[in-house]
Amino acid sequence: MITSSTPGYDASSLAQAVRSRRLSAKDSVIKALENIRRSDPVLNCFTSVLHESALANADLVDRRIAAGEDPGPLAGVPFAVKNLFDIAGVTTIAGSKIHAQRPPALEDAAAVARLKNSGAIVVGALNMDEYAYGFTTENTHYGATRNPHDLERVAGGSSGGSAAAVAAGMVPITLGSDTNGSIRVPAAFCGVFGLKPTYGRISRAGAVLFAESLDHVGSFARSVRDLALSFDVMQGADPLDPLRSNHPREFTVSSLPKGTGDLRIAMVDDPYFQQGIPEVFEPVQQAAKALAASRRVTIPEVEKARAAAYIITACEGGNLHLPDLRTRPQDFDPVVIERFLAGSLLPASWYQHAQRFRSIFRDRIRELFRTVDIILAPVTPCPAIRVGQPTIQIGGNDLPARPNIGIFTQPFSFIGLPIVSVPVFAKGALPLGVQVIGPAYKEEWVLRVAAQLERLGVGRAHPPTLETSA
Amino acid sequence: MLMINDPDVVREVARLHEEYETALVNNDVEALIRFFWDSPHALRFGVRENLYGAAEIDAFRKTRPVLGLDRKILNVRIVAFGSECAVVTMEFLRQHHHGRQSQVWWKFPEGWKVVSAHVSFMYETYAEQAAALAGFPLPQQYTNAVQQNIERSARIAESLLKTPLPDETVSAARFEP
Repeated sequence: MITSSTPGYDASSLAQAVRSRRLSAKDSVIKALENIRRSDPVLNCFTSVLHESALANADLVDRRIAAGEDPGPLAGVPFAVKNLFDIAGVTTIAGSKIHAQRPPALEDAAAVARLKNSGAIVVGALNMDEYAYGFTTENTHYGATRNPHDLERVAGGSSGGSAAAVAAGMVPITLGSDTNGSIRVPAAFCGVFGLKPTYGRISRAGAVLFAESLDHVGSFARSVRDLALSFDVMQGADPLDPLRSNHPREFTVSSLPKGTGDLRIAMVDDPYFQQGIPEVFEPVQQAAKALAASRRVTIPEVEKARAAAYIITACEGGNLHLPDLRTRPQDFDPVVIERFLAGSLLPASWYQHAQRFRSIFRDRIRELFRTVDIILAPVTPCPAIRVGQPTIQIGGNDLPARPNIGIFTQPFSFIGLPIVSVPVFAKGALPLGVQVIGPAYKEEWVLRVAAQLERLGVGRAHPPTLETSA
Repeated sequence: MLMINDPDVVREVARLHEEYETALVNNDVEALIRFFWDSPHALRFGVRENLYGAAEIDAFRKTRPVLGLDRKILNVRIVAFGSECAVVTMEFLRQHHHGRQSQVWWKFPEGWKVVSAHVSFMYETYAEQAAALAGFPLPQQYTNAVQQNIERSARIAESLLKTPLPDETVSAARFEP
């Protein structure tokens, strides 16, 4: 039985125990490896587990502590990464059969390296939709990742392995990527916290891209403090990042207890966000009530923003994989290839129109943020769907699930805003999430709101009540 | 009784059909004009033209672009009715496109002539045409799904694409020279 007392549940206290020598990094990693061995056969989160290197790295951390050094704020904390991040010595498969034939990565991805530089220990790579094109992590090559709260349901995607591994308590922190909702959706479906920071704020160097205009790197955790801690150590300029964002670092952990009294918080209030099943709005109302947020906002042109993100994703993804689409289509995941092929054939003027609209939409939302500081919105139009479920109900119509689960997340990642997906659900119920959306570079605000919701008992990563032992 | 597919008749029509094909791919206009019935009742429905009468057919032959006439012939069928009438059908591949051609031949005192013909291509979706132009024919099993995806994208994008944007609006720049 996985409970909140499962070791490895909370990275911050784990690191404190390791730094104060109450727990060795080695024992911390052994415990994580045991958790993985016990839970993963049922959940299918991991595509590789790095027993030897994780234990060797734990030894290094323990020796540094014995020598009086401080390995960092995540000393001895086991973490795992979506398998599109490079881990030195491991082949980065990006959920594909094609990349699985490539040689092992020579170096760690920037985000992985920064977590390791803070004392954290990478223990494995996690399942995802092929090349991140999906919201369900039903990967034909590597199997579906199961939702720890209901094994008949998907974990969400595309960072499904990352969300489920944290939800099941296998590791306290995981890395994911979010192009249209690929962190927020699985965080909501699995009932954990997920942070998609501002576009470019965490380096994407060493991560397999999907749609470069929209790809973000972020993390999952079961507490806001862990989420903030992981963001604090990963953020910052990186000359190797293709984006080369040079926004100054701003630390968030210390301001989490400050509360939200200074923030004008509003919930979305327009028909676009009413297209899902009505229940998905309850967590948003609950969060707004707890935060005493009575403001309402409508998101201008939100449907067009979603459309533009959809077109940009299709075109950039299709183009990125064009050489393989031409020569070896049979090696793609059949549930993904048709969208890549379609994306590679869309008219260029659609793409350019979408890119230009991005500037307009950004300006409109900047205007909106003059009147409010935080926007609350549902994450998904439904809770986790069943494995193999082909369609979902959107606005009363049955639409294909894979491209449509992200309709509420896409408009905001489209313009790179920082967002925490906060789990809001009753213990034992199917998880749902609330997007806490802030202006660009205000990670501190969205994390502070998430922390407040956590403190008020509204946002909580309830552990699954399932017995996940094999 | 009417004889269907008299071997001698079929052999003769087959030979003429091959000659017609050679004339076509070489754009031998004189020969092609000779193969068609010189009558206002002659008819040729082409891929992009409906030609009524020998005069229209001849005019088309003389002005047609001569490039890209090569084609690979598949599945020629000849059905001869007695010794004066035959129907010749076939499929063909030109570049990545799949066509078909039907001809009715009649034997006049001066010899066999095509009295009516119809050439068309199999219907191709936008997806198939675009992929063919981009040089990668779609795998058969995905053609419908890809087309449906493009149509879905078009529906999703419809209101966005109908939104005029100010000329001065540019996409967010990232390229640094």
